[in-house]
Parts: sequence; C-alpha cells; structure tokens
Amino acid sequence: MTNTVEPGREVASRPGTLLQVKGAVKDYPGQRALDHMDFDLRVGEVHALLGENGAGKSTLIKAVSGVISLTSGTVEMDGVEVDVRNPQRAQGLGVSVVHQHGNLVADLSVTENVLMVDGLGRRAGVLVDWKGAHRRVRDLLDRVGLGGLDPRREVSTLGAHESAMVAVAKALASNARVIILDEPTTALQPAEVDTLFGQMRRLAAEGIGFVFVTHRLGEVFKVCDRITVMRDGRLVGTWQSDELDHDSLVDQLVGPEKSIAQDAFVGGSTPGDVVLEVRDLTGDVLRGLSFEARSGEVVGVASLPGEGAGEVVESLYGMCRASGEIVIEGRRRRIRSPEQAVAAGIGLVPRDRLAQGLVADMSVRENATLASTRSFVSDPVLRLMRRGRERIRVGEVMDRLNLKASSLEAEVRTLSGGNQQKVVIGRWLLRRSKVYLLDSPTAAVDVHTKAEIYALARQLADDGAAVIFTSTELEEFARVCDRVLVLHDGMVAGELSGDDNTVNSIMRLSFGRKSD
Amino acid sequence: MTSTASVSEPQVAGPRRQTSASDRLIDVASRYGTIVSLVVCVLIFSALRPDVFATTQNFLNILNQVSILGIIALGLTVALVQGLFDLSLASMATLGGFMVTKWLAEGTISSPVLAVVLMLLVALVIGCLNGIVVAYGGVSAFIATLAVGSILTGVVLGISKSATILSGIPDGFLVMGQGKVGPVPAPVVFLAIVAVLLYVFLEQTQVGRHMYAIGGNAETARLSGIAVKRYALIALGISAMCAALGGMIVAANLGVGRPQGVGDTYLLDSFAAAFIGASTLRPGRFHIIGTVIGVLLIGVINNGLSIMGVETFWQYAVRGMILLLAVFGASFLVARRR
Repeated sequence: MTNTVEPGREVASRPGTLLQVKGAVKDYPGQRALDHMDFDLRVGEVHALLGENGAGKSTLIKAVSGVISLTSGTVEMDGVEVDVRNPQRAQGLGVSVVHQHGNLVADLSVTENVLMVDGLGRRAGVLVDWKGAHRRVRDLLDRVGLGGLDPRREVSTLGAHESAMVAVAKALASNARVIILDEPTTALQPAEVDTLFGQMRRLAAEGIGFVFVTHRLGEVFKVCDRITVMRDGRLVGTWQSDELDHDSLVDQLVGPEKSIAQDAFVGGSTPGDVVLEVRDLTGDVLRGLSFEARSGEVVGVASLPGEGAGEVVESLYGMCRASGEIVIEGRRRRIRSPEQAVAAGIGLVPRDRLAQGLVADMSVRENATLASTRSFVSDPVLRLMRRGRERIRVGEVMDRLNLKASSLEAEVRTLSGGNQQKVVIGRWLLRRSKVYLLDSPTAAVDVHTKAEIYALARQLADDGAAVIFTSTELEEFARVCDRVLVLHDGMVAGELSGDDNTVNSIMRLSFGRKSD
Repeated sequence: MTSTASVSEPQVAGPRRQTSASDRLIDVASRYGTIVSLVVCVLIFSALRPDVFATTQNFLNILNQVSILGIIALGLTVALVQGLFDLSLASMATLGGFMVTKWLAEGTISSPVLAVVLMLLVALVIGCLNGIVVAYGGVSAFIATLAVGSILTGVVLGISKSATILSGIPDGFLVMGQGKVGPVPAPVVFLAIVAVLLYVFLEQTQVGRHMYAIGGNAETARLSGIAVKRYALIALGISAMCAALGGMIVAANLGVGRPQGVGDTYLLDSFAAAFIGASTLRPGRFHIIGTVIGVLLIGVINNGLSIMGVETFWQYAVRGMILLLAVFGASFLVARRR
C-alpha cells in the first residue's frame, strides 16, 4: 500500500445538505463513545457509515434518531439546528432507522406494520378504514418495488428481502427523508441485495438520503456515493466512493498499527498432539472449513459478525446443522446435538452466561456438576447423587479457579459476572473436557475479570486441552491466542501467529483485504 | 417537615444489590409465612375447640381427608418442577378409580394388587403420551394435557355408559381406602410413601437434579449435555401415576367406581397446594416438602372451619385468600431479587 488517500473532508455545509452533525460528543461513564464527530448527508445520496465494532457508529445513529442525547454538539436538518430529544421527534423530523432484522412485528399484516407509526385511517370515527389503508400501503409498496405484494399478508410469511423493503416502506409512511439502514443485507441472498440496492438508488433519485451501515465493503462500492469512516468515536474521513478502492478503505478502517498492551500474551508451551480435527465444515456461511487444534493450544477463530466464527462454535457443538467431519483424539464423532458434543468431550462456555450458561436459582455446586452428574451417582439403578463427593470435587476445582463465593451452596445468581463465568468453566473441568469452546467468554465482565479469564483460557490449554476462542473484541485474540484463524466469506482468509497476530492484521484479513 | 419516602432506587450498574432490611423481612415472611400460618391455624382452632379439634383422632382425620389431594398434588409437583401444567390429572384420577373397580367387579382381573399395578402402568403410558406431545410435538403442556384430559373423560363415559359401579368390588381392594395400619388410615400410609419416594427422587437422584435444572433454565440444561426432551415424559408420567393412584384410593374409600367427577374436586386444590408450597422455604421453586405443607394448610383450614360450623362458602373464600397471599409473597420476592 503506497498511495495515501487524502480525506476529502467537507468544510461547510453545501446546499442540498439534508442532515448534518457537528462536533458530536457523547460521554458514557468512563468512556467517550463519540469524540467531536462530524457527519453530513446530502439530498439524494447513499452514504456509507463504516467502522469496526465499538467505533461509534451505533452511538451516532442513536443520537440522530433520538434514542440518546448528545453530551455536546449539534444536529441540523436542512441547515436548521434541531433538538432530537426522543424517537418520536426524530420521526417527526423525517429520520427513520431500519434495523438489521427489520423493526417489524411478524404476526401482523404488512399494512398494520407499514402504518404502525402513522396510524391506520379511521372511518366513522371508530372503525378502521381498511380499504383506504391497504390502498395507501399498496402505493408505498409500489415505491419500494414491491408492487405485487398483497398488503394483507402476514409479515412472517415474507422473504428476507421483502421484509427489508417493507421496513423501508414503513419509514416512507412516516414521511422519512433520512433512512438509516443498519446492516440490512446480513440476511439477504446476493440477488436480493442487488434488488435492494436498485430500490435504494431509485428512492435516492426521489431525494431521500440513505445512511448505509455494513461490514461488507464490496457492497459499499456498489451502491454508495460517499463513504465516512469512524474509528474510536472519531471521524477518520469522508470520501467520494471513487476516491477509494477496497484495500485503501480497509487501511482507513484499520488505522495505524496499535501498540499492544504490555500484558500481551507471550509464547505458550509447545503444543502437543492434535486433539481436534475439523475437515470440510460446511453450513449456512461456512464453505469447506478445515483446521486442527492441538493439546496446549488456544486457537482463535475470528470473523466479522455473521461471517463464520459463530457458526464454527455452533456446528462444533451441534447447535446448528452443518456437514463435515469432526475428529476428536483420532475418533470421528457425529455431532448433531449438544448432548453428543458433550459426550465427545467438548465443553461450551456460551456467549450469554445467564441465558445459556447457568441455572440462576441453583447453587454453585449444582451448576458446576450439571454436565457430570453421572460421575457422582451412587449406583446405576437408583442413581442417588453423592453430595459429599460433589462438594469435595467442586471445592477442588473452584479452588483452582480461585472462585470467590460465600459458599458452594450459594445461589449462583448472587455471584459476580466473572465468578459466574468460572462456575461455567469449572463445569467442563469436572467433565474433563478435551476441547473447550470459549464463545466470547469476556462479554459483560469487568476489566480485571477479563484478565483473569484470559489467564484461565491459557491454564486450560496448559493443562492439556485444546481451546477454541472467539470474541467480538479483536485485541483479545492477540492477548490470548497462540494462533488465530481469520475467516472471510466462510473460508479461512489467513492464519496469524506470533508477531503477525495483531488487531490490524486480523481486521485486514476479515475485511477481505487482498494484498498486504 | 417534608416526609421523604425512602424509595430504594434500582441500581442498574452493579450486578449485586445490597439487601435492605425490608428485603430480608419479605424474604423471611415468604419463606416461613405458610408454615407460620399453618401453625397459627392449628393454634387458633385448638384454642377455640380444644375438645374436638386438638385430638389425635382429629389430626388423623385431617391427614386422611387430605391424603388423596396430597398424592395428586405431589405428582403434580414433579410436573411443575419442569414448568409443565398437568390439567389431565382430574380425568386421570377418574379413569384410575373407575377402570380398576370395573376390572375387579367384572372379574376381568381377580387380584386387586395386579389391577392396581396394571392401572398404574396404564397411567404411566398415558402420561408419557402427554410428554411426547409436549416435548416432541412442541405443544404447551397446558393445552396438551387439557386435550388429553378431555379425551380421557370421554373414554370413561363411553366405557361406563355413565353407569356407576356399585357392587362386586372385592374387599381386598377396599382395604386400600378403608383399611388401617395400627391407628393410621391406609390412605395416609400411601401419602407418606409417595411423599418419601418423590422427595428422594427430586432431591437426591440424578434425574431429579436434571429436572430442576431444566425447570430453572432449559437452554442451560440442554447446552450442558442433558437430553432435555425425555424428561417431560418422566415428569408427566409420574404426575399421571399419582393421579391414578389418588383416584383408586377414592374408589376404594367410597366402595364405588364413579365414571365422572371424581378427580375434578382435586384439580384446583392440587394446584393451590403446589403453588402454596412453591412459596415456602425455597421461594419460586416447587418442592415436595412445600407441597406437603400446602396440602396440610388446606386440610387444616377445611377441617377447622367445618368443626367451627362455618359454612362451606367461607372455606372456599379463605382458601383462596391464603393462596393469593402465598403466591403474592413468592412472586413479590422473586421480582425483588431480579
């Protein structure tokens, strides 16, 4: 990469500016989510808003759509400063957000959804004027290219692409002039994406401004007029989309090399035998993924959201249908359910601790032994639980994990987030799992506990297990993993280890940066 | 002076809240509230009618009166541990009582023991069918058991042609409802056996542990490698067996096999007892000791009020109020803890 691209920053608002954000600052306790951010949207343009997780895109969108209020800075519509104090006000000003899964109620008809904000018309004061409502909705559907769709259909019967367009029609019904599309293409097939883009361009020609949030950079060049990149809550730059190409855009997203904190992971023990072998894993997103993990290794699996890392965990654990071969310690295992995964020696530390990892009302002991009750039964017939043995074994494991709880009989809900996570990890230690799937294990725990969980991941590996690690925070891969598989488009885009294992190289690979 | 009401702000940030004095009071009140009301009821009735109420004979009476309700409610408790409402237990009880008397009266089966065991197996199968519909058909237990219950009612009416079986029931069977072990009536013995068995089952065995885990968080249980679905069969199977046992004891007690209405009296009371139990000692959790206390509370109130000569409608009203208080206490506490 040699050619540096000069950001073509807009200095003053030009005629035709629809929405302008100036000097936006949003402070959260201990964190500045937006730092003097500037953004403008012109009449009739499609404007990409890009940045990695936590760059501040969502905060900016929330500020513009009235979900949060800014600490300082201004929002202007048509050159007039406005106070977007709540979502209703934003809608009144003509700003609508279409979220990833569409803000539609699946059980209601298209008409009821589209006119939810604006209201169905009335006849004789009380009765709904269904005829008039359907007629209005048909006109709106026409505008988004769904002329043939019956407005009486239930939204749940629509395809992903139709839902997306119905959500746009809903925005149009409330006279939106600024439509913010938050990752609308995630659930769409390529052909549907093209249809969506066609309709976006048509509506843009009518004067509507689109803010388009996505992780898929290819789409940006297909449909967008201008591109704004954010990093760490700040504006990196705004460009005409023909001023950038794919690779230079990735460089802008990634930014200069970050210095890694001093507690970065330095070389683990030498890996042992291959414990887990995955061959030709194919699913919704994955396309023939193969890799192996050795005893003593922490292997990171990184990708953009929805681009494969999540599916690796789910298919290894039998939570979703996938084809391919899974071999554990040389034995081919058929894994179609979590039950089979556990039997094969896999343990999952799930993403959502309270909803998937714990039974909140049960004690630490009962939670810890949940996957290994079999090893505590007295005999094969009555299967009485030997609580004394449970207490001893759980006590040993929790000592090793340095668990802080008032007692092993305390309800697990009373523990802090980090200690709860230790109970989940302890469950698999008691089960003597050979492969640990740590699926964003540090979500919603404090900084200190994060460090502890990194250490635990290492300890699991040092004790001879193979650890598969995913996270939404890329710097964690650099801290914990011996090597990182970066997935792009359902395949391994590259494998990083040692000094190459940096946030920037992971991002570059996951965005599908072709050259280095 | 302005009186500032001390409203404790819900703290969003911290995962743990400080427990205030009022929280602890509610905690204690809801844990021991039902036990205290049971004791208070006994004391009041004993004070008012010491000669009639506070006698060994009357206490055995109370136990005898609640034993059938108790057996049915204990079975229901197992289903409720997993969050499964079993509404088929009323017609299951009717079916149990009628079929056994029919078999024995008509001589299809001559041994009372064999007939009882066979009926329990039939109940187990029907309960498992309930479970299959719920677990593999994805129907909510509430609806599935309502439907199966209706079918069972129809089946009994069809088989019996609405005729009650009045004669030909052997004494060997009647012992089940009318016999005594020492001074203790046979139904009370059955109640005690069922209570001990189910207590051990739920509290001490692997299956019971898994059931509580599934009831607490089915997704966690599934991701821990537990084959979640089959436990609905076990739970509803046990619930059906207990209901059938209860129905058979009713038939043995009265000496007749009625084809309708036997179980209906127990349906709502068994839910009441289980829910009162769920607010006792371990709020929000269904358990055997709680249900036993709930059953006793209902029994003492009914018996005491009858002895006092209070009219029936008061018994219903008082029972309802106690249920409301108990459930309110438990749900209030559960809400507070979130």
